[in-house]
Amino acid sequence: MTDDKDVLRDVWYGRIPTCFTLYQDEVTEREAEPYYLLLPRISYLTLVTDKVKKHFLKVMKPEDVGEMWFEYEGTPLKWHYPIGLLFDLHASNTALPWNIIVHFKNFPEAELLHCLYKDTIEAYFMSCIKEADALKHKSQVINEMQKKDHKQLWMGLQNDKFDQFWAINRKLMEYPAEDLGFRYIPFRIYQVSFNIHVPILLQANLAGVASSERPFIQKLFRPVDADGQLQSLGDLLKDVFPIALTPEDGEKKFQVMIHGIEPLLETPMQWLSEHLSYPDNFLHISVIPQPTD
Amino acid sequence: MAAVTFPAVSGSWSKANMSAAAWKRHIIRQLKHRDRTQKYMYQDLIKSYNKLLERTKIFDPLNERLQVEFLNIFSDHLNSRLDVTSTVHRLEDPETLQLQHQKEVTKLEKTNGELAVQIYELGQNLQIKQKELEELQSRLKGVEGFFSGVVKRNVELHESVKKITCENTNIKQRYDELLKQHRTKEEELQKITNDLSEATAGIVKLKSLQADDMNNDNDRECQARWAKQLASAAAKVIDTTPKTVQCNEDTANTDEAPAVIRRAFRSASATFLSPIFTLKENILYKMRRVESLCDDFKGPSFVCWSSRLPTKALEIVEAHESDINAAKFSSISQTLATGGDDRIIKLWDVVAGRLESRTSLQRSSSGITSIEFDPTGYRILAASYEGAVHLWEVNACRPTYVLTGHRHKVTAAKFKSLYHQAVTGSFDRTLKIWDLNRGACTDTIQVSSYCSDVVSLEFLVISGHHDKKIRFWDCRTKVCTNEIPVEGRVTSLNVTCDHSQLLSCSRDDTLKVVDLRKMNCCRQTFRADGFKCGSDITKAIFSPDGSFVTAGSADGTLFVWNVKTGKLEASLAGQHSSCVNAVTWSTSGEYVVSVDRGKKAVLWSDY
Repeated sequence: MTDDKDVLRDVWYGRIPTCFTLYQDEVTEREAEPYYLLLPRISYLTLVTDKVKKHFLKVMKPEDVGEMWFEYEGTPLKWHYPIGLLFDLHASNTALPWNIIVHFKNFPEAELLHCLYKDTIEAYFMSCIKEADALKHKSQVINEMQKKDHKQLWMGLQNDKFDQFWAINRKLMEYPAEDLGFRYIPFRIYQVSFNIHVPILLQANLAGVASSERPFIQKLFRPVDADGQLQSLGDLLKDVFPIALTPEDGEKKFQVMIHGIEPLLETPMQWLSEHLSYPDNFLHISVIPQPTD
Repeated sequence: MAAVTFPAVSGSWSKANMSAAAWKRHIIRQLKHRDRTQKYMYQDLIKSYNKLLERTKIFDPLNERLQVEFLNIFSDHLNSRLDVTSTVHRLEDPETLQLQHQKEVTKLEKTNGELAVQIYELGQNLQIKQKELEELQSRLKGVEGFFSGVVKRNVELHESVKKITCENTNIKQRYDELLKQHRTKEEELQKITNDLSEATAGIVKLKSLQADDMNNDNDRECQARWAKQLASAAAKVIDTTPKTVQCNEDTANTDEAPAVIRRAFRSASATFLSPIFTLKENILYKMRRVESLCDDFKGPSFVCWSSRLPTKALEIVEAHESDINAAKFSSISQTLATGGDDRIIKLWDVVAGRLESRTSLQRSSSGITSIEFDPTGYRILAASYEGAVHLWEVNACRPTYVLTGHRHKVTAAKFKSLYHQAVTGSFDRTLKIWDLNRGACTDTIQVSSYCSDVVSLEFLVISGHHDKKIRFWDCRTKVCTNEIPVEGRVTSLNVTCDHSQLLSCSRDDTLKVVDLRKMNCCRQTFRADGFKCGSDITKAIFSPDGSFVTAGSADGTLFVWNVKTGKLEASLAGQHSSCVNAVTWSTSGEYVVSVDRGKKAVLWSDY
C-alpha cells in the first residue's frame, strides 16, 4: 500500500520547468527578461501564474495591459485543461524547459475562455468533480458531502496541500464492498492533430475521435466486465479508441500518456482511476504521435 | 490534516497481486524517471535564477539614480570646463584677472569657514554622544550590580525556602507523633470508659442487691407484724376461753390493744419483748417490770468496777462509707453502734477481741450526728442532720418514731431518765423535750446559741453551746439555773455513771471536769501536747468507773488522762489517719472504740 501512496504523492508533486517569455510585440518600457517557474502538473494555468503577471507588469505601462493569455508554438493554451495535460499533449517530447509565450493583448475569443477571477476556476473544478462522481457513484458521495468538504477540496488544490485534499478525496475513491470498482470510470482521451495549427477536425477515417464539438473522447466504461474480470487500459483503448493500439504486426505509432508516463496496457482501469486521476477525478489521457528518434 | 486512508484492496487483487506488481512497478519507475528529468534538474536552477532576478530588481533603481547623478556631475564638470575656456580668452587684462582671483579666493575662504563650522559642530556632537555613552555604561554597571544583588537575594531565598521545608518536615513528623499519641490516649480513654461502664454496672448490681435487702427487710418486718398480730390473736384466743366474762368487761372499758397487752404481759412476764407502752399503764407497768428484771431505771444499769487502760489496737475496721460521727457502746452488752454521714447505723458485736457486724439500720434520710442507747439497751435514739431524730428498736427494720420539729441539724439526742422522754439539742437554738409514747414534742426551750451537746440528769438538763457556755436547765420550770463559761466552743459533754462529774470538751484544746455536787465549779483541766480538738463535734468521755478521761485528737491520736492525778496516761497513735470524731468505752471497761473521719473504727484494749 505504501507503493500506492508513493504513486499518489508523485502524481501530486509532479512539476514542469517552464520559461515564460513576453511576446515581442508587446509594448514595454524596458526589455523584459524571461521568467522561469516550476509549474505543478495537476493545477491550472491561471491559478499559478500570478508571479508571472507581476513580473511582466513591471515593465509594461498599465494602459497596455489586457487579460493575460498563454500560447505555445502558436497554439493558445486552454486554461481549463490541467497543466500536465497541456504539456503532455503539446510539448512532451520537446526540449525542456517548456517555453510559453505570454500575451496581454488580442485575446483569442473564439478559442479560449475568459478567466478574470479565481471563482471561475473553482466553479469549473467543482463541476468536473461532480461530473466524475456522477459517473463513479451516481453522485451519491459528492452529494452527501457538506459544503465545507467541497471547499476543502478546492483549498487543497489552490494551496498545494496534499493531505488536505486527499482527506476528502479519498471518500470519492471508495466503492461499496460488494462491487469490485466504480460504476463507470471517468476518463477523457485527448489527441493532438497532425495539423499543428488546427487541433480540431481530423480526417474522417479516424472515427469517433475529437472534433470541434467534442474535443475529447468520453464514454461510459465499466471497470469490471460481465464475468467479474477487471478491465485494463488496453481493454479501454480497444473499446473506445482502437487506433491508438499498436497493431499486431505494425510498429508503434502512438504514445498513450498519462501524467508524463506511459503505463503498461495491462494496468487495471480501476487502479488507474483511483491513483492516476487528476484532482478533478478524471483520467486525462493524451494520445500523441510516437517520437521518431 | 486528517490522516489519509486509501481504498481497501478487494479479494480479486490478491489473485492479481503477482502480475499487478509488474505494471505497478513500471508505473512507479516511469514516474521517478519523469521527475528526475523534468523536476529535479531544473529546481535549483530556477530558484537561483529567481533570486538573482529579485536582486537585480532591487539594484535597478539604484543604478538609475547613480547614472543620473553621474550624468549631472559629468554635465557640471563639462560646464566648469566651459567656464575655464572662456576665461582663457581674457588673459591679457591683469586687473580683471586679479579681481577674478580674489573672487575665487574669497569663495574658497567662505567654503573654508563653512567647513570649519561643520567640523566644530561635528566635534560637539561627538562629545555629546560620548557623554551619553558613558552615562549608559554607568547605568549598565548599576544594573549589573543590582542584578547581582538580586541573584544573591534569590540564593538566600532559596536557602530559606529549604530551611522552611526542613522545618515543615520536622513539624510534620512531630505532628505525626502527636497524632499517634492522641490515638493511644483515645484508646486508653475508650478502655477507661468501658471500665467505667462496667463499674457502673457493678454498682447498679450492688444497688439492686441492696434494694433486694431492703425488700427482704420490709418483707421480714411485714411478716414480723403479721406474726405479732397472729401471736396477739392467738393469745387472745387463750385468754378468752377461761375468762370470757372478764374479757368482755375489760374490752368494754378499754378497747383493743392496751388491755390485751396488759393481759398478755402478765401471762408472759418472763418474755418482756413486746415494747409497745401505753400511757395509762406506764408507771405501774414499769415498776413491775423493773422488779422482775432488776433493772435500775434511775441509775446506771451496770456498775463498772474498774476500767482498763487501753494500750493497743485489736482491730481496725472500715466501718462506713463516709465520715463516722458517733459511736456508742450499749449500756448492757458488748454491742456497739456507729453512725455517720452515710446515713446508716451499724450494730457490731465485740466477740473474742474482734468486731463483728450484726445488722444495720438504714432508714435515716440524712447523716447521723449522735447515737444513744437507752438503759435497757434495746432502743437507740439517733439524731441526724436534717432535724429529724429517729427512735429505733435494736432489731427493727424501721424506726418506731421519727421525731421532727427541729429546723436545723440536731446535734444530740438523749433519753431522759423517764424512759418515755427524750431531750434533743439542735443548731436551731432550741432544746426540745419529746414524749416518746406519742412521738411528739412536749416542750421547747429557746437558747441563745447553737447547742452542740446535751446531757440529761433526773431533773436537770445540761447543754453546751457555741458561745462558750455550759447551761443548766430545770426541766420542770424550763429556766436556766446556771451558766459556766469555758475558754472555747463546747463540742461535747459527758457525765460519769454516778452523775457526779461533768466533762466538757472545747475547741481551745482542753477538757474540763466540773463537780456537779460542789456547785458547779471547775475542778480540773486536762491538756496535752499534740492534743487538738479537731472539729465542732469531737467527743470526749469518762471511763465507766470515772477514773479516766479520753478523747481523740485531730491527728488521729487517742489521749487518755488519769482523773485522780490529772496526768496524761497514754497517747495511742498510729491507727487513725484522720481526725477522731468520737470515742466510746464499753460498760465492762474492757474495750474502747474510736471512730474517725476516714471511715475507720478502731477497737482498743490492753491485752
